[in-house]
Amino acid sequence: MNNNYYFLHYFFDNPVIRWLRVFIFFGIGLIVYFNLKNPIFIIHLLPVYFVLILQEFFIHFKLENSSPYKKISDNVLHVIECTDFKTRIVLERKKTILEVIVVLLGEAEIRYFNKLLQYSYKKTEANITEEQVLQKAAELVLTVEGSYIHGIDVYASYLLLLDSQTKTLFENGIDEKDIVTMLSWVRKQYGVDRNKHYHLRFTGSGAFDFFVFGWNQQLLQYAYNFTREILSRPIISPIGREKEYDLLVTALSKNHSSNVLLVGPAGVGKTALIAEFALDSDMGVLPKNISNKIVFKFYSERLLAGVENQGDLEARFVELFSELAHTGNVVVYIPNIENIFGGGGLNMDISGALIEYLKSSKIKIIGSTTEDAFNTYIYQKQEIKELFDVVEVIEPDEETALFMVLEKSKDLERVNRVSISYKALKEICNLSDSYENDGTAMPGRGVRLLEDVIANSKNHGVKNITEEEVRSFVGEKTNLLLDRPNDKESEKLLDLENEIHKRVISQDEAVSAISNAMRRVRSGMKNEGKPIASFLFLGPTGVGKTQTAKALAATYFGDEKAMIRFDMSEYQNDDAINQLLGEGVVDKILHSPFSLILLDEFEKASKGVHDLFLQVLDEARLTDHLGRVISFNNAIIIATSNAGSEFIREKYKEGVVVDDIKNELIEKIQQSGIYKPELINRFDDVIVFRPLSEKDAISVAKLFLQESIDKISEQQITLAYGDDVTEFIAKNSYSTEFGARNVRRFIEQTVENQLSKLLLSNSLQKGASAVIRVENNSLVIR
Amino acid sequence: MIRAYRKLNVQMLAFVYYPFYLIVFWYKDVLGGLLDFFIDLNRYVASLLSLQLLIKTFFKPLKNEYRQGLVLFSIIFGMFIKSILISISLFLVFFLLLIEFLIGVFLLLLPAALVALILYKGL
Repeated sequence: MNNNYYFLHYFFDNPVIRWLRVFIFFGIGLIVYFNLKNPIFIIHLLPVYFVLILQEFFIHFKLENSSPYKKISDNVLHVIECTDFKTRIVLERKKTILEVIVVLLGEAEIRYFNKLLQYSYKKTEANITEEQVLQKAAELVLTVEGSYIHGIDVYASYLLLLDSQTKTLFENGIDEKDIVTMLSWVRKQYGVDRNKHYHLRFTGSGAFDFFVFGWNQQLLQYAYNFTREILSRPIISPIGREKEYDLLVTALSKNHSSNVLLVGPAGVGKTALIAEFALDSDMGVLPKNISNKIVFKFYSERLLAGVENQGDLEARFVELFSELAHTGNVVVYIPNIENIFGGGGLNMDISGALIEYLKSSKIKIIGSTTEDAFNTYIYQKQEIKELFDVVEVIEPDEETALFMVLEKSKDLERVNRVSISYKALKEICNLSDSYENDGTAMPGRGVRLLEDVIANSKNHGVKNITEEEVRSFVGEKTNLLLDRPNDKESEKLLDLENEIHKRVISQDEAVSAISNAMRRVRSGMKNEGKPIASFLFLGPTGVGKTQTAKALAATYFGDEKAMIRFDMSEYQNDDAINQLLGEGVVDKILHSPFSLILLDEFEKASKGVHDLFLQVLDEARLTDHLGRVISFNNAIIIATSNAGSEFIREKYKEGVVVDDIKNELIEKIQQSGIYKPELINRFDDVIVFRPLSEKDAISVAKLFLQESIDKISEQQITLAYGDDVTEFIAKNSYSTEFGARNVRRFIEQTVENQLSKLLLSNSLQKGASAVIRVENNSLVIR
Repeated sequence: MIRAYRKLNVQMLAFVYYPFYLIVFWYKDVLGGLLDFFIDLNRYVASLLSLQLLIKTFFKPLKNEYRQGLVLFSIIFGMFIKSILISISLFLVFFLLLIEFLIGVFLLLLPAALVALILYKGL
């Protein structure tokens, strides 16, 4: 029958027939009008006119909505038979695929697709046949698990075939996977494979509901009508949560103990599931015993406000629940339900008082909590646990998360009157991990960034939000370097070793390692799920371990202060972990995810702190005491340590090349129990800093003298010195034990002390010049 | 290959079946669809007038008033108020059902009536 419908559709859609239909329809209408006084004429024409009207209805409501002859599958011989009638007619009528595409461009789905893609189709001559396009469209439909080929599929397949020749989309960063994702999204949005049946549904409260149900004094004091709130905003369809939603509905529709606990991280979409339930229940499309219910959401703050002891809280809940049992059509939603089971810092567990009500068939409760809170406060309470059906809401996969953000973007676009491209949304999903990541899961994390990007773009008068806007906003907020390096930066990156060597003497291996790490991250070769780089710098004091980190911070991050430094000797006691987390390490990383973290004297930290960094180095994540998961994905971690210094010095004195003792040194450190083997293994590299030679000490002396000169030049005084001065300083301050620190001390005690006296006695005044000399085995300034 | 389909003889068959398709469309799609619409409309009006809730909670206190000493009064008062509201709602729903019934019968008999008109008056 469907094939016959197609041919009828094809016939009636013919332009000549279409005009003929219009002519006959209005022609007979006019004849009827002018012969209203002739009953015989009317009696004969009325049935004809009725048939004409019926025919038009048949064409518009039956033929145009009929599904194609066959569903698409791997073994379909004639793909055209799986194409919807409208598209099939266009394909058959038009001579070239270019003409077909021009006609299809008028379809709403394709206009939306192009808007997401930020693409305007330009007529391009290419060697593509209709058969190739249809075959590719069939492949696409099978990939997105569709049933029939529609205009949007033909268009998407044409774009892909065209791009394999022109590379226009590819050059703009759009690949086949993106096209398939967008196609899948647009098909879902427009329900292209669904039969379009419209139902009249009543939404909202009935005119006399307020006489009957839905409120009592206690409920109004501690909760608000969540259903009304949901009905007042645009409907957002839940995507990728079908399984969880089915579990929720099944659990709530039970006759006894029909309580549900949604367990999942913040932002994962627990409230969205309840919103969907509230909407469906209000529309009456759920099982009878949970249809037409009103969801009331508890104000957690009000419930706990003014409560002084457990007795107070129990009394409040018992009163509330006994009234709730009479409400009849109310489902209660309690967010952060762990608060009444001993969590939330109140340590008040009122589960005992609630068991009776939870068992009752008169009350239906939906609670939400996080996995940690569930394990800590609910899992142990067997009796309570059994009264709830636990529905786990896990973080969606990348594609589903993108769909969820796309769904939300539709609403935000409408409200804010902006347009957001697909690539911008994809970038938002990619970067949300780096933007104020306090452990909120996707899609919540992405939606928060999306809202911030929209607000920022609106402030700057930007209407079309592209991935550049997203990157620049996130880059500005987090200091992350998200744009491709420009020529100047590329030059700097390629010459990074020399730049750092301006501040660090020798230690080529360390300088090269951190330079390579920076080049990797800026060229897009970073490992996901790991810090940018992590190094353990081993070596005696004063050899430049901290200085190397500072030099990188100054050279690449713009300022030495961009480095987050922790003196690990302060974290030696049992409370070290809480101390470290509490002192703002989390907040610092949250606000500056792209940073250099220096863990100075790492060996002095407690074992607990070492274990904490096992997770950071391995997974680039850290969970703080508030349950927030902090990402170290964009951090460079450098731990410095004096462990094994004596061994390095001994070997150095014996003339052994430091690189050759690296493995022996690591083994020695592991045996001594300073670091566990698994901790050392988790660093990308362990770099051994060799003690400074006397020749190095001369270079160090030059560096420090230059710092003194820079300081005094601020007072417009010039200071000069000869090579004999640096040699003298090196000779008198060089020590393998204290390294560069001794050189610095010597310069302070000799040069800088003399300079300060000269300045205070006005012997050196603005514009003056002085020279440092070696006289009588000491340094003098004249 | 695609255009070859146009030449199939099966096209002719489509036009042979066309009157039959129109009859099926009228009785199945139009009247069936109308019936579905009327069912939706009745539900809509019943929900709009809170009819199901009023009947379900007929013997329950008005406005959930369960305060001690007021329960019996609010049940009796509730029954009184709800009786009035239910009566008005039922009258409106029955009136709607009557209109729907008349429309349904009219559409069901329309083709036959037109044929009859031609046969008895026209010839």
